[in-house]
Amino acid sequence: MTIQARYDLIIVGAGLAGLFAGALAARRGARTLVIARGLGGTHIGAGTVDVWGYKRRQGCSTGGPEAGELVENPEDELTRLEPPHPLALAGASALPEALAQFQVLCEMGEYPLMGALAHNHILPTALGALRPTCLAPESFIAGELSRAGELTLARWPGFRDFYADLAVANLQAQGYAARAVTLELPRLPARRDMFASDIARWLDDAHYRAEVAQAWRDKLNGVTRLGLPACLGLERPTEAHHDLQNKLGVEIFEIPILPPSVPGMRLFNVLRLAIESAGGRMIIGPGVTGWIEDGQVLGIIAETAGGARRYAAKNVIVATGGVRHGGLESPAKGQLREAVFDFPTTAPSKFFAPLYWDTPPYTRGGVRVNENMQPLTADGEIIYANVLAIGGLLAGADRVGEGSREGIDLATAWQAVNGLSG
Amino acid sequence: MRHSTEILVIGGGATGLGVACDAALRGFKTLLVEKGDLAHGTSGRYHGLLHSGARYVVRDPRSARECYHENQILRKILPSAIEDTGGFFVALPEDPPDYVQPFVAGCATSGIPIEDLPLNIALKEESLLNPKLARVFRVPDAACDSFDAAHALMESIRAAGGEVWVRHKLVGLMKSSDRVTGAELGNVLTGERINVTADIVISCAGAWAGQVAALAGCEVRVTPGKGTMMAMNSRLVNTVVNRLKPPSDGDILVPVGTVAVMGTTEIVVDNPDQYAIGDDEIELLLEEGEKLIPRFREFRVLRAWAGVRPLFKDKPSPPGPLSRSPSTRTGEGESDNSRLLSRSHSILDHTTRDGVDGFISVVGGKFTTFRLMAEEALDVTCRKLGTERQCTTAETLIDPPGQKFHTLGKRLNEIESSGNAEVICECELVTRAQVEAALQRSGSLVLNDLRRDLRLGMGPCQAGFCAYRAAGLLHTRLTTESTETAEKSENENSANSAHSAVRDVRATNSALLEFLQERWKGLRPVMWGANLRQLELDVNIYRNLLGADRLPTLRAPEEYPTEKTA
Amino acid sequence: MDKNYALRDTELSSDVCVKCNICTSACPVAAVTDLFPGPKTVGPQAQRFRKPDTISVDKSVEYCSGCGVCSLVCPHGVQIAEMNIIAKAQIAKRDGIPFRNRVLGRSELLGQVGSWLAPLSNLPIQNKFLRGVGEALVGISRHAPFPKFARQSFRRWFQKQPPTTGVRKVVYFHGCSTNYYEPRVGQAAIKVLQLNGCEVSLAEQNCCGLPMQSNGEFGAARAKAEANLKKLAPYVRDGYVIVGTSTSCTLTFKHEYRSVLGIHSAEADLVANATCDFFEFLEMLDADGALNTNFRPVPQRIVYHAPCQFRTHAVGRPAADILRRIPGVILSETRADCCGVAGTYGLKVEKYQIAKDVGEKAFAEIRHADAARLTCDSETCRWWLEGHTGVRAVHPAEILAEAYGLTP
Repeated sequence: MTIQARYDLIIVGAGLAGLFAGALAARRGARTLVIARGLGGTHIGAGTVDVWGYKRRQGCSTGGPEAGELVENPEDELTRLEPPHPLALAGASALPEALAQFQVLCEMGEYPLMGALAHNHILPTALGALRPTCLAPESFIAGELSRAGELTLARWPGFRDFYADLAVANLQAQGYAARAVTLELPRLPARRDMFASDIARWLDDAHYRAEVAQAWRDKLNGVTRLGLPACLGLERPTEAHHDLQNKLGVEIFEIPILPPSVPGMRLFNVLRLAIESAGGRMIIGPGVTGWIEDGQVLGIIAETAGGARRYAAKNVIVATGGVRHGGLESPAKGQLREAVFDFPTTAPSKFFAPLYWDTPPYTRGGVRVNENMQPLTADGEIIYANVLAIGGLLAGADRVGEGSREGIDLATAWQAVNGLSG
Repeated sequence: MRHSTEILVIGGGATGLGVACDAALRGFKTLLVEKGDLAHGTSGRYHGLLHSGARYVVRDPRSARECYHENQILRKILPSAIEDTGGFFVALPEDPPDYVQPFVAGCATSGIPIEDLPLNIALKEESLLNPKLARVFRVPDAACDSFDAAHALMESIRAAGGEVWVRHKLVGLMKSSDRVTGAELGNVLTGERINVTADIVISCAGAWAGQVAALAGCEVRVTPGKGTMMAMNSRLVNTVVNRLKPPSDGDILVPVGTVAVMGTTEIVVDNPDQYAIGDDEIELLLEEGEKLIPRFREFRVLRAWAGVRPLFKDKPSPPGPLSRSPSTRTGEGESDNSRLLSRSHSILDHTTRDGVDGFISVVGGKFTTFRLMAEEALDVTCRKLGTERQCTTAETLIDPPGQKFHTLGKRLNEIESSGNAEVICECELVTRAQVEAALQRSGSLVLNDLRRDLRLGMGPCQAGFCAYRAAGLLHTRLTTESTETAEKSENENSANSAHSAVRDVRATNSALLEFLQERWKGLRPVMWGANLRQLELDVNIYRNLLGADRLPTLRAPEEYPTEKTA
Repeated sequence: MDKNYALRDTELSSDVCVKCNICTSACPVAAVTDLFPGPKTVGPQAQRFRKPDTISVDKSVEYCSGCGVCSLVCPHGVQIAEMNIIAKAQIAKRDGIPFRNRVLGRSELLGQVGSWLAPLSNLPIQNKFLRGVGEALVGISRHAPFPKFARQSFRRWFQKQPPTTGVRKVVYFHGCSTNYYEPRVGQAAIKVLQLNGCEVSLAEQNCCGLPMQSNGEFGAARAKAEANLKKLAPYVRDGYVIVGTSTSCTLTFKHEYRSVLGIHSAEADLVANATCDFFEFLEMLDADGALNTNFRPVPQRIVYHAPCQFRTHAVGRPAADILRRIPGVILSETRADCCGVAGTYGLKVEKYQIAKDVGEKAFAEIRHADAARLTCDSETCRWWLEGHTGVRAVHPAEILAEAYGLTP
């Protein structure tokens, strides 16, 4: 097997953690490759950076807003964290630095994220639940529920992925002033269903936005804050948001809906731009395993169309996420296996809970690392000095129950790249 | 409220629907009541197999003949619910070779046409099958969707002037000295009580037959024989594949719609409403699956569920000339092995058996023979009522005329022809119009009923996308109804409507969570591989993106069914 | 079943689809037309309703262009584009293959006849009236750019060259486009390889079969495949590497023979594993420190477009990486996933506008790049992009040859 190419750093995985690590490394001058079997969690998330959303709670959790109390100030929760939680391992400065850097990259990509570590936005979901998050795009902010004032959500007849009346009813039931208004999307085809990404591309076009404004203008009497499904532009979202607000004379906020996540795709574009403009390379498509010889990691092996190819690297960062995109495989019930280097994983004896909405214990399983993000054996020994693991692959967190996914991705990516020399 | 009818049928599974259909066609005023949704019990959880009968030729030839005969009849009268898949019986090298000759002879005697297939032809048709098979026989098995069948039967009953009330549970049987005169029913949705008087009450309650009979003071012992099955996400075979050996666990793989169902096990349980699926049962099905398809474990197991067979073994009859009604039949062989408890059916005339008039129980049996069970039950009924009315079900179409066998591509064809638009459940190609019509028809708040009706949520994503969409449509339906009700009522104050709006949204939220929990019940036993990745995506949608678990609901979490409840 | 490549059964790869819509979000065709409902819909979702050897009920999968972006972005390894091609072949079985598609599928025959008749054969290609007739009669869009036939085929040229020796044994696969339309690409490639110490042979070869496959003629495509495998396998056994400058031909050897045509023989594996794209091969030399980097300056703004098929090779963009090292070259890269033509898709009258809409992003980027030349490893993309932007298009091998001082 020949060596296809040589890099300073290879990052496996193109979710938020891998992409951010790639951008950081490339901008520091490392010859960087980000390689992944496919696209990652950006495309199925909310497009926000969640740091810490919910106070810890035991057992069953439905029943209303009193259960799963929302966190107003994530910093409070963070100070009480201990290893093995990845945020604790990454160290106190990792998260604030990472968030600051991430916001810089978003600005570069003309897609600013707003927010600060000491404060969570509380934003409405497409079901009308309350969703706390730390950094959100500018186009989400007018939906802030702690602000007074009525929210108006748009019904889009013929679009199957948003039900304004249901969201409004839930908001009202939780004490918020909300109503729905019917706004037709011009040129919605009868022939097939549209996805969020389709509508987002239409709204990138100024002519289409003008048509939309024309169709909606007269229906917005008394509307101050208008909530739309998060489809407000893909390539030029800031322009689309500002333009439509101007044309309609109302504040507009976006609400994340079912995948594909347009806000997530925007973050992907921002990071891809950052990586490539700094000379980094991305390869999306092949499966990847570790290239190990005589107990040394020399790089990775990619399953290209023509067979296995080796890519040499001084350092490798594994950012393949947890189970959802195959970073952790589960070949049989009750088993977890790390897919690239076969790192040891921690996993509980009982994987699942009786109720659907209780966090299954297995999600806390994953790869154990030290403060430098180096994977460890069960005895705490470093496995390979030049391989790091970050993001959703790491053990010790309940990303859904805590509302902590993206904070972990960014902080561990920052910590990993920061620690690499040369 | 009061109602009266001639024949009251308890139970909306295949048996009850068949009985009500036969009764209505014989001109009786007929009412069928079912506590849940149609095919809520065993019929909705079975293997999906329309037996050719070949499975029984060696041990139970009478059953085999019955099956084949009924198989042929059902193909004529209910083709829309049946896919003509054909079947194979396959022997592995380790299967007892001395089973083959009796099998072949038995099929001949029972009149079941079979074909000894060369292995290369079988493998060409079904490329995933074990290349080391010793023998393959082609048989006239078919696959049958019991929900389609149930709905077609219900339409037939109504067309013949009968009535079907779902979500009406049996609260008690009305008696006058030693005669059952009717039943007291409870509307599950509204709580309303209804007394129905009837000339004859026919219990078709399947695994619950004992509970119903007890309400009349009769003892009927039905043993719930749990059978676990799992659906493979991909249709690994397009032909039913049976093992050519004495019937046992895990020996049939049936293509049913878009999946392939592997089954089954047989474990006696105490309570037909409470049973769990064991990891050992899943492992057994995987092992047996590997014998048929060597790569079996590579494929995604979508879901597991169990149904309870109503196994009937009659009590010893009292001595005397009236000890056995001519139409009662018992199984052959009275061993403790529950598999040998006959799958034959029995019509119990409680007058002769227990001294209670006006009451019949139809017990035992299997899906394939439901029409025959109904015919015999109605023959007994006619005798009891002193009237002679002929059964016409074998020649009467249940489907509208001109229907053909169901084909796999049917829904895809319809969607492609009508435009790929407003598809709510994308996995199973269910449209918004279909969902709205079903919500209207059923008046149900249970999304799981939509699933049974339309197959919504039964595909690979297990309601990952469509549960949210269906909840949105349900909510629209509920609020439309509430507005209509409010407009009709004179008391239109806004406090009432606000209260009703909150109740409505709690109802919708509960329906959504209940549905997700119901899906989880069947996923948990088979949570690995791609299915686990699917779970992560779905949990990401419902908990992270939508916050479905943090909304006001109607009931406390402990009241949701977990895997131990049916 | 987490390692989907081990499955080797393209249609059953639908098993692992979790319906996430990542593929739909990336599809360049679904983004521009409502005639195509998206790769998930016509791919793994519809696949569960398909039975082998039955009449196809599909319609909308016809609009899949086969660009392959969906398969690349899928995190689970569903072979979406590949199963779509197979489904389209089923439709072809049902509806028959239109004469036009048979013509477009026969690029070797077209090339042979056209090259023999050149330059006369080039007249109808440029003549508006005749193109209009062509569109009306046969269904090939009159707007679709076509290349000119060359008078002397590449093979003819090669046979006149003196033999050379070298350290590495390479057998060059020219494909129809180089042989009949652009021999200069092959000429540049041979010289570059020889300069880099390769002994280059020319095997007997025929069309890779991809145009037939794309148009649903699996039988004919398989015949071409088997013939090529028979001719090339002996070279591989002798230690040769197969190098090609047409990214679609090399992809066909690497991937389509097995994943779409279902050929699973020892020869198919042998040839697949020994095939390299031209720049992929040079990148390997570079990783070994064996690439000649004595470049002369080529002071020029050049814009590179990575063909969608080349992404499916999954080896990155070695052409861009190497061209950047030529002094004076200011290289920008398009971000568009697909230029639109997707082989023969954009040539068809009913698909032309869709293909053009797909390509708008690439066209805009190329115009905006303000480059003197555009470069792309795939011939059909080159012709299409040049035709729609007016920017002269060359194969990156030609630029490299210039940098080596190899071109006259």
